[in-house]
Amino acid sequence: MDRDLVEAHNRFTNAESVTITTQWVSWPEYEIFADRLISFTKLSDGSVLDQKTRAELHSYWDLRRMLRGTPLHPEEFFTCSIDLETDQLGGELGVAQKELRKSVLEVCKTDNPMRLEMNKLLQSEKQSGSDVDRTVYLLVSSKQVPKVNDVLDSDNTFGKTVQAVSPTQARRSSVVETMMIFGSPENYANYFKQGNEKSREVAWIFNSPAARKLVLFQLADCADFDSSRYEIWAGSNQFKTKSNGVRPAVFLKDFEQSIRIDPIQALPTTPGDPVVESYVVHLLDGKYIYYSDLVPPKPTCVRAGEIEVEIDDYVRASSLQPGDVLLIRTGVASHSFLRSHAKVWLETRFGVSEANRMIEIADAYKARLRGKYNDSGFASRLVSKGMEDHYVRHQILRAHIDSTIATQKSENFIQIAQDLELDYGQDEWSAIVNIQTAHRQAGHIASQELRDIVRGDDSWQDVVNEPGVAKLRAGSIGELVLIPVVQQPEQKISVPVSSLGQLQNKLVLFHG
Amino acid sequence: MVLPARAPDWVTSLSNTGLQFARFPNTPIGQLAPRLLVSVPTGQYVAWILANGALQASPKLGIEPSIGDFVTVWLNKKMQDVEVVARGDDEWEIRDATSYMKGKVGVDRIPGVVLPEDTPDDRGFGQPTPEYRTQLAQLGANYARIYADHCGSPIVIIGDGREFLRGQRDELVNDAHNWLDKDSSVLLDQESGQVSNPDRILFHPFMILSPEVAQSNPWLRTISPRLVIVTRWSYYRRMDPALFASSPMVVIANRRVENNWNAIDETDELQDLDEKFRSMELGSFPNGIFVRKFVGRVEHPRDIDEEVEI
Repeated sequence: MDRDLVEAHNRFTNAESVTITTQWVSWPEYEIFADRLISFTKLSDGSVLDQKTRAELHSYWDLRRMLRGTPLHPEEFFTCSIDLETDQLGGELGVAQKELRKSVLEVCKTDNPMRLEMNKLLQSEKQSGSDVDRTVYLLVSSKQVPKVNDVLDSDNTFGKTVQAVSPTQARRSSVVETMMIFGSPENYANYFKQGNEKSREVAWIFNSPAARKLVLFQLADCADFDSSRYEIWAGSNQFKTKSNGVRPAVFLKDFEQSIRIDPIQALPTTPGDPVVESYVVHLLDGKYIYYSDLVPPKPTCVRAGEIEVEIDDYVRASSLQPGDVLLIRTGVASHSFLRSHAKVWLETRFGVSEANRMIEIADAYKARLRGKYNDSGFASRLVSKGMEDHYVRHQILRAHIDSTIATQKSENFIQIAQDLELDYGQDEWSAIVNIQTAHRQAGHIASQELRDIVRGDDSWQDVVNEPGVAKLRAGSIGELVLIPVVQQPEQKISVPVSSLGQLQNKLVLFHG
Repeated sequence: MVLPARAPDWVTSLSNTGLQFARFPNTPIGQLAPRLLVSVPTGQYVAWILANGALQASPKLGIEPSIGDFVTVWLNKKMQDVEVVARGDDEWEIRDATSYMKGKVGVDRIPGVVLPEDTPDDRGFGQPTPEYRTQLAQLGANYARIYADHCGSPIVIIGDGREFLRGQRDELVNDAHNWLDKDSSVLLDQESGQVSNPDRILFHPFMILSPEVAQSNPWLRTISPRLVIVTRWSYYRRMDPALFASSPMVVIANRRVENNWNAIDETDELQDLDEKFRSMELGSFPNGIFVRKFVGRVEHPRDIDEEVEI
């Protein structure tokens, strides 16, 4: 996006007067193909398909996505050489597979009629003298952008520059007069989102539009356009909408394969490692992670923003949604960077020996406090001196967490230290204050480093949107993994504090 | 495309919103304070348009200082912290090394804003440059007093990317001067990196602070700016609940930011509006700008003790 006032002004004025036109397009061969694809997928749901058949089915889903989501003709991107009899499955599945293959061959012989409609639109804009803006956006998925731009570059576009843009690009690009959308808007939402959440994710296309005129080309697998799905709240936006053409007689209802997620078994306890109630957050590829609302670390989410990626690091585990992308630090450095950065900061200011003395003070305090985890008498003694029981227990729990130092109240620190039989006073408290400051500085540096890395190269967005798991090397703060959440966290179990925020893999049992 | 010479509807309506909300009196502890969610098609420049309106509202200087209070005040051509001391039986006095002001107790209002007890001792001072003082003279003959009142009741913008926010302000002041109120444009034109230094609050008419500012500066929490503008819902959630809580707040929900829906869902549950706030008319907005009132309870500042993790 051009970060200037003109662009902002255009965005406000576009939102004031957006017009939405839906153009129904009939494509009988596509309808048969999509119907058979859905039927075959339904029929095979729960069956174990061989790798070759899965790959074939996957290629047909890709074909469908391209046909419904772009104006490209099948021959422009799909190699249509299918032997109907090769590796055919047996029984009912085999029959369905053969019918599907036939429909692929038939659709490949046709042209995408949405291309014709698109050209008609561009021609009519030229004839009406609506030439205020030469560039017309064409919204496609990020994976399809290069191919669509490559093909349309050589096409006659009636004096217009048709530019394929992904949702992320459209969100950030300068506004234009017209944007075309192929298929249901919800097709551009995150794979794991469901129902209304999909509509919400794409609502900005209509209520914060990249163009004043939005034209949707829709095939038989699109529901009727309902502008209320994209309102901020009921009755807010006033969209001007009109519908052209005749809705195809058939309506293809999509089939979504069920995702079955088994609950995670509670972990065995380890002596000396306290347990805390936490949410199990299920992630892509059978991975999962524990987060507690009581103790750190908290989940960090990356979300699409207007100018750049937004990093939200104060997320409650209980509020995570399917499709949220978690940013997880992994690798050895992820556990040690705060301490090592803080140590450097202390040494620079106080010298090596003084820095070591301060760290020893904090380490001794935390080590002794950890040792009181099962000592109920220790908490009772502090309660009798005026502290609250849950406060003391919380302090003991947090002593097991690397990223915390100590209480921030000097009187409490000195009292607890005395009960730990440490002869600590104001001098030691000053050391703790210095270490806390050093950790804050280190945390700030790490946080900035993390933001720079994630924003510096956003190619990971295409990977997670696929959906997939992206990895980034993150210098001194270890490795970063970006991974989608697949289910709203529901299961709560007690887990060792040391396992919080650590990426876990489900055990996979191989047979034969 | 060139910018319109006069402020377009979206600017006028947002400015008016800033003005109206800044006029709300501060809310006592324990009560529900007015908040406004502003849903916009882009978050760019919106904070400054709101600030433009808010700076047109009368400054709210809080309780009158008493003898013994520390106050931030305009003295010796700069904003600085001084103690109010007694002068004889019936006079007060404030002074620094070279200048002083005095008045009669109960007759002349002691100037300035009372500082919280835990304000750092040496916050420095805020001194407009000679060039900026020339600009400030446009505010009127008693411009120093007017400026000091604005500084004592600042507009606070909460957001990350402070350089970016400052760049937007520069552009607005330079390229769309006519969109702004005459006095507001002067007050927003201050070039000072110190507007992002939390220690310098009450030394400038506006501040740009991070959502986590209270972690290292808990003393800030009981200060009551004229209006607080939060640039994202996630920042509102991230802020210490007591930070500037008694002030009216406007939270910007940029619809191009994916998590703006959290703002819609969460404000559904914050609708315990009193009749006066509910019936308050905010004027009309062009299609594309939507506002929703909500409330937030003004809490006592909690002890910051081990709540901060790094």
